[in-house]
Amino acid sequence: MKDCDEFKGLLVGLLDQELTTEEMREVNEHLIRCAGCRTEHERLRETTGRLRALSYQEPSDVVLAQVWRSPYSRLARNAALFLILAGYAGVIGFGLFEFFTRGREALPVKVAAAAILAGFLVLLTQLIRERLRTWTSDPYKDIQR
Amino acid sequence: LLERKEARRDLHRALEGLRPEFREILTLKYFQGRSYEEIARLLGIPRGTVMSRLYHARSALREACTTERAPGPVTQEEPI
Repeated sequence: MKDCDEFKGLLVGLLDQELTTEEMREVNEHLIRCAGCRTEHERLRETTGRLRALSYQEPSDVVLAQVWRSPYSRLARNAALFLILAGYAGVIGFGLFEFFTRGREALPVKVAAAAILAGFLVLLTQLIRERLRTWTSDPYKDIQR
Repeated sequence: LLERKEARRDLHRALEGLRPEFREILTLKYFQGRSYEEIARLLGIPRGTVMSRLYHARSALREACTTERAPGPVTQEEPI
């Protein structure tokens, strides 16, 4: 025969509706007989209720998608992206200007850096051109993902 | 409404003051809505220990809430 201490875990399981039929029968029979466990059960029920009230609901995918697509979110995202890119461009531009005009590095180093920069710009231009061409001729561009 | 907000804040504070394993199991059950089986698998403990730990965690929480409301030193250590 189980004592009250052994039923304490089962009292929690009963409140959380996690017990098997057999466990439920066992704990209910004990609760009929034991006033102490009935009091404990009531106390646990009160704490459980408070905990459940505190828990939050996860927003559904539809709600999340609505938030993501809302005009404010889009405006904030685009503004943030623009600021970050503009900041990056400014810092890189300033760094390059300083490097080529005031830098004390030897001429071959500057030429090598200029070659790397030119190569990067050519690749970037190529990429942008390809993306634009694909975008204008993409038959699936209006399909919502 | 203000009273309910206050009560929620007290409960949050009490939760933060619990032992990590109690906070963890209460979070898994009541905030993430996981079943006992899932919790047992996640924590690598038997289902019986999940129930027993949840019992002690809830008792510790109740204790912490009571001491939070009453003046005096805060004690929240609860044996498993």
